[in-house]
Amino acid sequence: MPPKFENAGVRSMYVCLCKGITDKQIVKAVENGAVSVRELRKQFGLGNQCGKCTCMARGVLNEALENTSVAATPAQKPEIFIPGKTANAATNATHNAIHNAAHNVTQSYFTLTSN
Amino acid sequence: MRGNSTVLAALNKILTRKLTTINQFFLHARMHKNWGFEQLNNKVYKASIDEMKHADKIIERILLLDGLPNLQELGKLYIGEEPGEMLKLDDKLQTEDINHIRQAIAVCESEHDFVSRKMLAEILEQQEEHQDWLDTQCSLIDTIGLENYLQQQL
Ligand code: FES
Repeated sequence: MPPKFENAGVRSMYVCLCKGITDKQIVKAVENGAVSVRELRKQFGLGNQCGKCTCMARGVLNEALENTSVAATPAQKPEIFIPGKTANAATNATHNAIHNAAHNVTQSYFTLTSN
Repeated sequence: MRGNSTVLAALNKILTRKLTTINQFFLHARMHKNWGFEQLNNKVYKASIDEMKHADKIIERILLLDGLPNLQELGKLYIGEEPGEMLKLDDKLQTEDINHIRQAIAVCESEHDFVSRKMLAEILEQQEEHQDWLDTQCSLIDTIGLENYLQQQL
């Protein structure tokens, strides 16, 4: 079992303060298929108030997308097909991919705006 | 007294950063307090008030130079969800603040505004002290672990 998001050393911070949306929620949204800031806006109202968060939200989203797509690819084509087990293996792989994504997000999206 | 527009712009930029940091520190302080981490609350609350005093000095200086201090502009806040992360985010913000103050000092220097330069240098000194404290907390968390660290902050 991959460690839970909460304990995985994810940068746990609020990306959108006006709506109280955290980076973990964005990564979860990506897990559930969100691919654009517009979808985050629709889903959470992110960026609808002061708009200061859209830049950072885009950074979190892009990295989550990158990490899930890169890491999740092997899960789509398991080498040995074992009926009944495949679904489970794929789910685990996806979990790992998403976990890695959450983990990697920690390092690089956080850059303070320099104005 | 008519001030140099380059210096005024540089001072207003620092003012914006100050106003932002006041808010981030203040919210973090009261979050610490809400969870019972009194020591962190005290320290971070005081840092927020210090930021406000810096903002006050900059506002008065801008007015003296016949400029208009912009108290409307506010940057993005970096608010953590738990004490360890909050300290790290404060550390990052403070480090950025320091870099910007250094740049503003260079502007004052090149425009021969030595009084503004002196004011910023004094602010910088206090900033470096708080940054040092934040650095220490972050490395303490790394060495003794978050739980042990937080136990000492009650
Ligand atoms: S921080 Fe997201 S709208 Fe204000």
